[in-house]
Order: sequence, then C-alpha cells, then structure tokens
Amino acid sequence: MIAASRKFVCIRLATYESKEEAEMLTSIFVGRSGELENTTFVILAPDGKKRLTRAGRGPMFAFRGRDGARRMAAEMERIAKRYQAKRSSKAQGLPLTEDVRLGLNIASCDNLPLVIAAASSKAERAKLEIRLAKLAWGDAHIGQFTYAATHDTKDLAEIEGAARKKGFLVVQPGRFGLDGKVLAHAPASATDEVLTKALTKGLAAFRPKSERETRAHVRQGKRQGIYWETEIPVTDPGKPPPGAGRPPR
Amino acid sequence: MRRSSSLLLIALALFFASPALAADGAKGGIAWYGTWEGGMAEAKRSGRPILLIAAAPHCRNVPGKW
Repeated sequence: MIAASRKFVCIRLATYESKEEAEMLTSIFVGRSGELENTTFVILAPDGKKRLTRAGRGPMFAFRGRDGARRMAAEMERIAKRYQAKRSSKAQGLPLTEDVRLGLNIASCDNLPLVIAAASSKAERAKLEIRLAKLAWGDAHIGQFTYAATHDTKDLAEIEGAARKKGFLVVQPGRFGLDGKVLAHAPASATDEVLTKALTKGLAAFRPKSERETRAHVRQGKRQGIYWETEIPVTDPGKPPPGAGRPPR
Repeated sequence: MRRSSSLLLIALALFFASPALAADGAKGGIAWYGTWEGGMAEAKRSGRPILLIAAAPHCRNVPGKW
C-alpha cells in the first residue's frame, strides 16, 4: 500500500474543520442520514472530480474482506498506470496540515512528531516550506512526520521551548494534541545537512504514545476536561453502516 | 464521535496498518496532504490520481485519536 501510495497524491482531510472542505466531501459521499459523516473515502482522477472507485465511509467498504488492503493496493497500481505523471518545473509541495493547532492534534492522532516551519513573515514561511519539502519527500523522512507552518508566534504558545524560535521545529505532540514540546530545532538559515540532522535528532527523541485503546483515551480526556472544538458542527449520526459493528447500547 | 464511529475509525486504521503495508517493501509511511487546496495543487502539478480520505481528529470531542 505504501509503495502504491507513492504514485498518488494522498489527501487526508480533517472532517468538520473547514466549511469548504465539508461541502466538497458531502458532494462525494453522504450516508443514509444525508449529512457529512465522520469518515469519507474515494479515489479520484487528478482533476479532483472524476471518481475512480466507489465512495464510502472507508476503503474497507470498497475493498471488503481480509485481503482488502492487498486488493486495494493492486487496484491503486492499476489506476496509477492509466495516469502518466507530468513533468513539472515546480517542485513537489510540502504535505501541510491547515495550521499548527490542527497539526499538533493530527500528529498526536498519528503518533508522529510534528515539524513546524516557523517564520517571521508570509514570504519567509513560503521559503521555509520549499526547503522542508525537499527533505519531506526524501527516502529518509517520507511519511515520518506531520507538517505545519506559521508566521504568527502566537501559534507556538502551547509548545514548550518554542518561544522566540524561528526556523524548523521538531515537536513532540502532547497526548491529546493540544500542546507539545520542542525536540530539535534548526534555524531558518540552516543548510540542508543541518536541517537533516535536526529532523533525525527529533525523530530519535520522539516518544510515541503507548496507549492505543480509544475508550481509555476518551475516558481520560473527559476526566481531565479535554474538549476539542470543531470548526463546524459534527453531523455524524453515530449509527454504524451495515457490517461496521454493533449499534451503541 | 460515538462508539460506532470509533469502531469505524479503528477499522480504517487497521486497514492502512495491514501487513500489505510492510509487505510491499516501501520505506516510511504514507505522506498525507492535510488540505484539499494543497493536495489539489499537487495533483494539478503532477498529474497523479488522488487517494482521498477524511476523518475527524477527535473521538467524542476528545482530541489525539482518530
């Protein structure tokens, strides 16, 4: 699946975090409720419109059964052959999350370190993103980090050790993804070699969460009064689609 | 989200964490664009098809879990 994913542009949107994206997602799939549900899956042509697989709540609905992942990888290889990759003078863009707040949360969900391009201005931020993208797609680091960028120091307020730091920050996200701690740093002027060392140092210092059980996580979060405010209202009816599990008691 | 959605997300995670992931010999993980705008710019640039997934980064409004 990972090898097949390299021939695709992989987009994973955070549901209920953007009105525009929610409208796009509901144009692709709504369940029986007629509302945007928690999860959506589809494979699309490069125009972002033509559907190449059935859309649904997840890939397991389009590719059922124990060997679903293998069949999906085979189908992805078949689809990729139909699309010749274009030559472009522009370099591949950094796979960014919407902002630092969401980046911290997503990094915590994925159990990955977060790399933040922290700039003083919009123009500098764009330059840092280009520098980071070069390394993000390299064999040594591909898929091993979540990325965010900012030119507003207020975005770094919840990150220990980030005050007044500019450049590239490798961050350990907190258990609930609401805060974090700097593991490694490279200044904006760092050479590719220095930046690579900072990424490697951050990756080595990163401690993944050991707790994997969702119910315990939620119980602990509720006990601590943790609450994630979504950008738009959650509309998932919470009813399982056929075969997805027992209904809530 | 409610329990059923949690089950669905666990299934989603297991799907992408199946042995087929490691069996293909590729290094690293899947590199996800986190915004439609960023992903579409890349699709336009590269002409590659799009693997699109959406999920809520919280469970019953507790963040840190898909």
